[in-house]
Amino acid sequence: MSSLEQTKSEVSLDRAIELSLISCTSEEKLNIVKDVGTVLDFVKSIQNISIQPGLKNTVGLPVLRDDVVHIQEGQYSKDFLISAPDVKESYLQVKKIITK
Amino acid sequence: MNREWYQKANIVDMRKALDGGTVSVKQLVQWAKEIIEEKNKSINAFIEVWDVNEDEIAQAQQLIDQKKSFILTGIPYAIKDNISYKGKHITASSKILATYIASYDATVVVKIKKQHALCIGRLNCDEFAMGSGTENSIFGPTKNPADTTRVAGGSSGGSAAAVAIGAVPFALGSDTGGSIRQPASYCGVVGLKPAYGTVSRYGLIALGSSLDVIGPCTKTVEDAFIVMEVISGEDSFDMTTKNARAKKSAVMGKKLLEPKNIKELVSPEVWDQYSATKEKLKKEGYYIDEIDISLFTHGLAMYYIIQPAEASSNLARMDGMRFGVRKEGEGGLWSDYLESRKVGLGHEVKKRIVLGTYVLSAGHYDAYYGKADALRSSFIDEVNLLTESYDALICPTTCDVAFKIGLTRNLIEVYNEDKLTVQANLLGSAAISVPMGSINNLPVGIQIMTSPNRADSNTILKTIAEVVEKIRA
Repeated sequence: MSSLEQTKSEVSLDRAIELSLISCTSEEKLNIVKDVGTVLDFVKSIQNISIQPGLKNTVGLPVLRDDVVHIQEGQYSKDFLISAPDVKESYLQVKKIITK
Repeated sequence: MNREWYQKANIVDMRKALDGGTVSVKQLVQWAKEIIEEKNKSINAFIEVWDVNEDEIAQAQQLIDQKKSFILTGIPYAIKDNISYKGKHITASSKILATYIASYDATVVVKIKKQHALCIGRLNCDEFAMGSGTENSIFGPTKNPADTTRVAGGSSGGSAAAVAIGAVPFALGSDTGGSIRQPASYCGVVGLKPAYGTVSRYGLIALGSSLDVIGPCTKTVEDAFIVMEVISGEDSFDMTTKNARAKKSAVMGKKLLEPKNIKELVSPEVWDQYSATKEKLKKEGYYIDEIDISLFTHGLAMYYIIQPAEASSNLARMDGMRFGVRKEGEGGLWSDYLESRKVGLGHEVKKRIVLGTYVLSAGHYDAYYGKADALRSSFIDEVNLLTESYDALICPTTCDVAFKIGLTRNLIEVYNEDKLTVQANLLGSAAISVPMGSINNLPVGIQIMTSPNRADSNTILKTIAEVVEKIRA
């Protein structure tokens, strides 16, 4: 199997739960798999609809403007730190993950 | 003027009374709080009531006294719990944001603050705006003022109910798939979803970024457009906004389109109300044609692929690291993410994140997200083409009256609540729900939607909505 094929392999719902960073009890997992399966069965209906040729794509055309930064560096730092779970001096404090 | 007057008054009434000196700003705020105190226990629309700063009241009153008032000066209002108000808690009704305090004002709040209107609290909603009954809220469901055994609708159920009980003349909500219009219909108030890009989303906790829009719940159509006029406009913090202020319409908005086969989607009682309203519209000189929009009924399936896909991406940031609740796991940073999301997110949110992750995964992308996105383009083109010779599209806002709190239904029945409203979000169109009557005292609304590419959509929408309002009265 090529790397492209591996990338394109279909993930299971169990794997989708892992990729979503959702940790749950086995009971909750069963419920999620059941509910998501029901929705997937419902939305599958669109797979049989043919797209009319000749129609132009009008979605996703963004309004383009000059790429100008309006916020000054550090303008909101103080405000953000107010609600951060842990703060040390002027920085967010997160768990140390590299140990030597 | 007394509290009973305040409860029934709209923005225009209050403006006249304030400018005429027959009522003070302080008095309006006092009445608002008294109504909340009396009614909120049974309705659960407000999840937090704020003390309005005396200086803010004095500033608003001074502007009025100096005859320098703006349209919203001194008017009390409230906001949905997913719109940022600097220094105040904002949770999107989720446990994961229970400790979060907004560090900046949403653009809509900035614009309203400039008018010196007074925000008196935040309103209940479904968790991260995912739901149609405000039942997916950590604060419990908002109850329908017309019947407290029923939901107020959702996700902006708190916004619609707050206006319906007369606590505030207007409240801000957000609409991703009908979240302003559906509760407005259930509570008997006006709910306006502006066209995508008309109102800045900066400061709104994102659900579906290509679908979300902030809009008002009000008592009258005129009020809805007053608020929209204030909050709309281009914003450098939201690159999708554009200047699309109401323009004068070249046509009078008298040719309406009704999607074919919608009768079978709604209850007979709602259909009767809707048919009676159509007849009255015809007497007012409106033409209503039934046209087959092939992709209209597939809107719900497209929506429940696109919206969870966008939600799964937007909610990836809710990991307990940057803000909100953090729960430490036993296996380092990764387990902290997992634990924080496990305790912080509700079942509906987890489900939609998983669904979104699934449809965006490489192996399923083409079959689900890619297809839905392509169909959405086709849908926009189809509606643009079909509505070239029409002014607006009409249909009932909801398929039935407000449902009972705690009603057990299968998932698709629950999602069907959005069956007639998601289309406007997929199209990016402006749409409004206006009360058209009631069934056993439970309100129902009619929805008016414009074509996505009409520059004069606000004018058309307002014209038709005001006729509906008039014929109902």
